[in-house]
Amino acid sequence: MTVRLYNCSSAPDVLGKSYTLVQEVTATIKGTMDVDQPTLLLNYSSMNFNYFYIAETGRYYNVLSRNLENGEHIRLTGQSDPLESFRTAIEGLDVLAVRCEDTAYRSPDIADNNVPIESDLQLDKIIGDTVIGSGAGMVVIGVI
Amino acid sequence: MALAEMYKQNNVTYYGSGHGMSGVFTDTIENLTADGMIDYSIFLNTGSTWSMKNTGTIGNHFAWYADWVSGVLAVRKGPDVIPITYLGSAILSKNTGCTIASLSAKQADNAGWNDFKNARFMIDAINSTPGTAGQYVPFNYSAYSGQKYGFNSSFIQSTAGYATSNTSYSYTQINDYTTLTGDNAKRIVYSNYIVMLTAYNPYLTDNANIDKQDIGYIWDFFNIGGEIVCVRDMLRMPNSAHWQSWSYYHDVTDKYITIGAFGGNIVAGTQGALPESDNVKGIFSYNHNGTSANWFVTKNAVDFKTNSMGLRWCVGNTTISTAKQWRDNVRLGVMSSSGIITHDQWIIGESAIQASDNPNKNTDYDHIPAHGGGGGGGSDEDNTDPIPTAAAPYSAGLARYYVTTAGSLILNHISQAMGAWNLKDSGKDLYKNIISCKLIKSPAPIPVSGSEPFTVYGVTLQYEGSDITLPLVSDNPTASFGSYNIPRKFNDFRDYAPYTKVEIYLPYCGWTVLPSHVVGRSVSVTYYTDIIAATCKAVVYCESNVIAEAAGVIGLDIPMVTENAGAKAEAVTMGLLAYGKAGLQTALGVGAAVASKGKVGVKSAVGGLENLVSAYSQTAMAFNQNYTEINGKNGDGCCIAGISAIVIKITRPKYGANTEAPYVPSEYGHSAGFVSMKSAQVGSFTGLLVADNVDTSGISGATDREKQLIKLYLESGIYVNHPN
Repeated sequence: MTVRLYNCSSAPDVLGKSYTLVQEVTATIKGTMDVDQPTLLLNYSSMNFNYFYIAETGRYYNVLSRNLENGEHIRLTGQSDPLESFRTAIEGLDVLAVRCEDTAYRSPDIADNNVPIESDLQLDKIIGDTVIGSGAGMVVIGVI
Repeated sequence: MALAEMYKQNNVTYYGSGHGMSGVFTDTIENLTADGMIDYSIFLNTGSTWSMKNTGTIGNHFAWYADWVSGVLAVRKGPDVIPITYLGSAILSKNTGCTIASLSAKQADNAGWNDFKNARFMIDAINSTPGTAGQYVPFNYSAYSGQKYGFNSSFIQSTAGYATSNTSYSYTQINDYTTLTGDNAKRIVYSNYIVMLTAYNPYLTDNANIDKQDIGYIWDFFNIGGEIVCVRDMLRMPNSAHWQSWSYYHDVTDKYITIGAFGGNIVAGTQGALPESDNVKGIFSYNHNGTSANWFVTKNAVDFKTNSMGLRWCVGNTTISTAKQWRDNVRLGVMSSSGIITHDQWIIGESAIQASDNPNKNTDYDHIPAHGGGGGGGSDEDNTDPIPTAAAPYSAGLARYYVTTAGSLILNHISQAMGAWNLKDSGKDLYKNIISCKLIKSPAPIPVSGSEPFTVYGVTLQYEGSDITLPLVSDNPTASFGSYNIPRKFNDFRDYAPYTKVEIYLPYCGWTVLPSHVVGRSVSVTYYTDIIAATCKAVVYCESNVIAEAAGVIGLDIPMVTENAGAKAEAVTMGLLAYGKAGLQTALGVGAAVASKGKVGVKSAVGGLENLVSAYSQTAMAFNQNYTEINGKNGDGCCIAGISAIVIKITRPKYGANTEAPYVPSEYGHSAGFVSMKSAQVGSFTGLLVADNVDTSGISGATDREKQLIKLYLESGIYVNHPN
């Protein structure tokens, strides 16, 4: 099978990772292959990769281990990255965002207890411009 | 003698029948020289021609009246023999920048009076060269370009022949003022709004010094020749919006008359609709010493009659024409012939009180009490003692509430009148029938409905022979203030409770906490008052919704105490003032004894201290018949000491110097995320996204573990469309 080796600069929790192709190589399955966590034998070429893609599984993998055997082969074990493998499906998911960075979806008037509030207070004051009851007093006399 | 009275004596029905005066004067104005006006001429225009009705002997000026509907009466002061036709023409001329020529051209327009009925005119009352056509425009306005519209008698005086003496009048000198130039154009602005009545009084060097003009308002004055008002006074109409600025005095003894009249801005706010016939009646007060603080008397029954311009008026039950008082400061409140105050100011002392209906409507001249008359009133020579006059018992059965300005001497008059009341003979304890007396500082003017004689227990109180008249409270005023915008500061949740606290100070009521949702909105405050109870409720509105209210007090009771020195002495003698039970018991006994005499009714002589006081009071009355003193606070201070303006206090979390910048860490959104609680597709977000209870069942091809992992990622936070 063909394996594309990448260098990925994104963190694991990024949807839509950034990676660059290092080399496309032929690999053989080492024993029984777990789709989520496969182990492969690669013809030795380079150890400078941290991410790979297997076309047969249609998945991206983070490198868990890569060991050089007899100076001829690399034993490669990966862990499926579902965020990238199913990126399109995930991007189409409808979700209720609890928090987000995107200010377009921010609800500023909902209380956020995580925001640091200084205990010191500041006073604003608005004084009405109309003085009430400043005129001459009136005397009201009730008679019967 | 007041001119009005002269008219009355001469059977001038003119005053009693409105302004339909055509032909009325022909045979009625006679012998005007009999009293006072020895230097005048009376002319009458009854539709087409002028005729001189009477002429006095000496004089140096004149003023005149006009009825704009059907005729003109000109009262000229001076030995005038001039043909007055041109006066008529001048009157008829619309004040639209008239030139002499145009005035002259109008002389044939007498038949067109009605055309001017609703128009506004300026009347110039100084004549010119006798017999010379086109020279009856008196004032050279160019001399006061941009400053004074009207005239200044000092200006007049500066011309030979117009001296302060009343014997040096010279017609020929008026030639100097035969041209309307310069600011004559200013007069145009009045033509659609006001009546401007002018005259002058050469007796006084500066009595006509008008330093203002109001477009659209009545602003001028006229001096009717001195007899009615005072030769040294001028009469003015204060209903200009700026009348307060007319604090004009010649000196401390020579005063003016202020007449509340009506102008373009007063008559229901309609500048073009003057009432055609108005009887103006109101408070007539004058100032003896020339300062407003010394108002010492108020006369009612001043009948100010006018056909829209204050032209016709008379003074009824007053002593204004006496030498003593004619220099006093006179102010009139006014009402229309229909009994409606034609403007919104009823002037009492220095205060304006709104008025509406006035029961004293259609006051006819003939019904006005003669000078010094009325009930048990005094005369010209003896009018200083306040003598209440008994009247028919008041039978309405309901309390009525009079109102006056705090500090008004009317209260003193009432006190004195009550002190003079003969309790013994009448058997009426007036004091007990004053059920309340409160000093109120209302947040809004107290609505009144005209004025009535101050009547207690069916007794109309008088002072110096005239009824003490006060307006009646007609309604509880409301007043709205604001709106006040409560600005946001952070533009986030910190603008609200518990982080931000909004409080409002309501005068009369104190501090009230407002719900925090007012932040970013506007609030207004409306006071609803109860004048009788001297309370108010301040209701705070936010966008028409009531959000808070508070109750307060707008007044306080004025303690009123009757004291009687004689009673005290008797009481002491009888041991009534002993303290303790013995005194009380004695009081009860005396009270009972008094009751048994049938002098005044002691309703109950049982109980505690109140009855002691009552018995004491009743006993005192029985002994001495009269009150000797009624004490009560009559000041101006009241109930809103401290802040008298609405104050809104907003307490917020501390924010930086840049008050508009949200005070949160710069990476807060990226690291912790802002609160969202909004639904959208994952791909529509940018940056950190923390979702709630994500459903991953729609992701085909993923294993359960992968779905769990995806769910875990989304619920713990992922970065979408992250640049890195």
